[in-house]
Amino acid sequence: MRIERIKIENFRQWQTLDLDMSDERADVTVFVGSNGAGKTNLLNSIIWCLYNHEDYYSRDMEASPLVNQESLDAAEDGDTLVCSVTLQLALSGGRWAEVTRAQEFVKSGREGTRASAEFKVLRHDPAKGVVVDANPEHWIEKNVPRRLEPYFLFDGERLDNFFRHAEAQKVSDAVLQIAQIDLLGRLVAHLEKVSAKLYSSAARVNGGGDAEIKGNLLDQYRERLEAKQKDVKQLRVAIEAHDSEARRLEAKVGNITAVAADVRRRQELETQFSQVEDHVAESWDELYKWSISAAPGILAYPALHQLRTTIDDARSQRRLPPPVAPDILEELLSKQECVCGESLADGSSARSRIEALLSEYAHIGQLGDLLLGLEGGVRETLATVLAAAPTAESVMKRIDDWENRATTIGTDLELLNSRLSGHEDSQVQQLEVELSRARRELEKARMEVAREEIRAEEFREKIANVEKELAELAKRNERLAGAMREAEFSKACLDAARGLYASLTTAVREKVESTLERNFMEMIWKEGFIQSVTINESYGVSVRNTRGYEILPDLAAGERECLALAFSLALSEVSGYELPMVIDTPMGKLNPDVQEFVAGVLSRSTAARETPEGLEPAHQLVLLMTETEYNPNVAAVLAGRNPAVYRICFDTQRCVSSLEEVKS
Amino acid sequence: MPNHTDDLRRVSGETEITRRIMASDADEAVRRCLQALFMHELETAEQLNPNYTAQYERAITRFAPAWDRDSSTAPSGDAE
Repeated sequence: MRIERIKIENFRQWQTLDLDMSDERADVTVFVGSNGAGKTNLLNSIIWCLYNHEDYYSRDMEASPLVNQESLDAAEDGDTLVCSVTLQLALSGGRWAEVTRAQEFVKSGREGTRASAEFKVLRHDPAKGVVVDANPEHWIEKNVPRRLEPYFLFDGERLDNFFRHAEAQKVSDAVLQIAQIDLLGRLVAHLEKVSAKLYSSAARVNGGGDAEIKGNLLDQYRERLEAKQKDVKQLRVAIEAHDSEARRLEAKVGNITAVAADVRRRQELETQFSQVEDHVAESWDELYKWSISAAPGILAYPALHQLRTTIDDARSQRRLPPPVAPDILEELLSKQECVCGESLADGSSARSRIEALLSEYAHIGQLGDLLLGLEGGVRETLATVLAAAPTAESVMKRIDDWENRATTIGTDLELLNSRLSGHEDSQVQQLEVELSRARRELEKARMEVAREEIRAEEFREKIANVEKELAELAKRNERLAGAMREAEFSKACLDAARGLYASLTTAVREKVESTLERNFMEMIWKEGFIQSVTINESYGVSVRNTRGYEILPDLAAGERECLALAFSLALSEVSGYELPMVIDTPMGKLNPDVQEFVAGVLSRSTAARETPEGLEPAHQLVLLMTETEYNPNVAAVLAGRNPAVYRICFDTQRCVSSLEEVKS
Repeated sequence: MPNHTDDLRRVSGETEITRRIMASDADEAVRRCLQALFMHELETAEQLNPNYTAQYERAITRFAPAWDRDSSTAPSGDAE
């Protein structure tokens, strides 16, 4: 189905509009306008025409008349004004329909009082030509069901409310409604009652006897089965509540667990930091002690070094004797042998050299002894200072290493402190206790349901047995057989309907789930952040990040809008309806850098595609966007669908909107 | 026997359920009866089908004579 033409007269700020959307670009139409230009009222005009109400309006609008204010002001008292919207719809097989809703207003003072209203559907019938549908409301219900309106005609900015609270009931209603499975469910419930009634009536057809006894038994069992089913239903509501609570707490605990890990890390780092500080203090202490012992030597080192150089110079210039002890030399002379084994016998050259040395040494006498003593001290002190240097260097290096480590730990600690700002360790424990309690309650409720279902199954078996016994009786009783045939036929219908309901429910839920996940993954800008989007058997929606944590309650408004938009697109895909999708401000809360992803998903999910049944035509997409939304990137993405683009111009003096085509 | 096929073709959204009903391996009378019952539900979707008992009994009375009891099996559920 496509909207091929919109004609508006006096609907709010749309005084007149006649827009032909039947050309090949009708697949995608974009209306661009500032806030207040008339985008939402264009959407409202379509909703009003089809369903006689407006979904999206401000408080001011609620009080203002539906009829165009300028036309009302220009009218004379008592004049009649008509506010009308006509949608020309192209249907499959070359058929078409024209839906018109009109409301008359009579000018009275400055107000317009509602007078007569009209709603009609002109439709093209291949056999009869153009006919006025006798029951236009019924035609709408069959072709553009009111209950599907929220998934095809909606305001994108309000979508984020949908997943603000994970409400499984809303999701369940939407999924079951969109595929009309709720109607099949109602059919099953009605058929159960009618079938029971038919069995009961059949059993009584003879008026007494075995059959009637069995009929009474059937009634009793059914009554008890019904009671059990009510219990199970209530317990399922309780399960959903516990499940929702558990998932809410899991989401919180997920965050808190991450926080708890940070808290533990902080504690470890604080311990390490303290140990490192101790090591630094110990090393400084060691260096201090070493300094105390080595300081005199270090302080005297330059002077001693200078003295040593002076002595060495004086010796090389023979102003000082070499560093020998005269008494040792005299002892060698008396032994007539050097320590190296050379002979020091009288007249030997070696003896002559030592004697010359002793003679020279005798000249300086006491000074030589003094020098010798001094030189020993200098050498010892210098050796100590030089030996101590590597120790000092090693201690200094250790201090540097510990200080670097302390700096690293300090940076990590600062980061953790900023992340943990406002958190308390006790929160984690409290939440974990609550989660554990919610999980216990959930498990308890699930076990209770399982027990009740076993009991219900027992009644079903009893009922089936009595039904079989009745069937046996019917073989011997013609009258009973006639009545039983309808009862058994109803049972066969019921079994078939139950089977279909079960398979369809699972198939549609799984299809919505996979389409929702695919759409959302394509829209979301945090690449690799989302691990999965799932819809469980109770229709609870779950979004988990790559660390496995539930993050649905923590999604930002823009992310929730993406999720809801992805959900709406998934629903429209599985609905089987080819209705036009009209979205007001589809990306109102989204960052500019994500808008093109969303535009891509919108464009792809409504485009024509090949299916096993053949080519599925494109769904018409009408987007009402602000200039910020229809930015060059978004325009480039939508250009692939060759859209018709119109600018909404708003005359502020007259409070009237009009359209201007934007040529590509 | 009422023929809802044209109506169903006209309403694209009805095809998924009715297609599955008609593709199930249930007896033809069962399938036709379910199709008729589903149409009743669809037509009274907004009013929750207040008069379902009489409608259902009528449909059952209409389709039961054509029911081949022996060929009627509960569908596997997977109509595909």
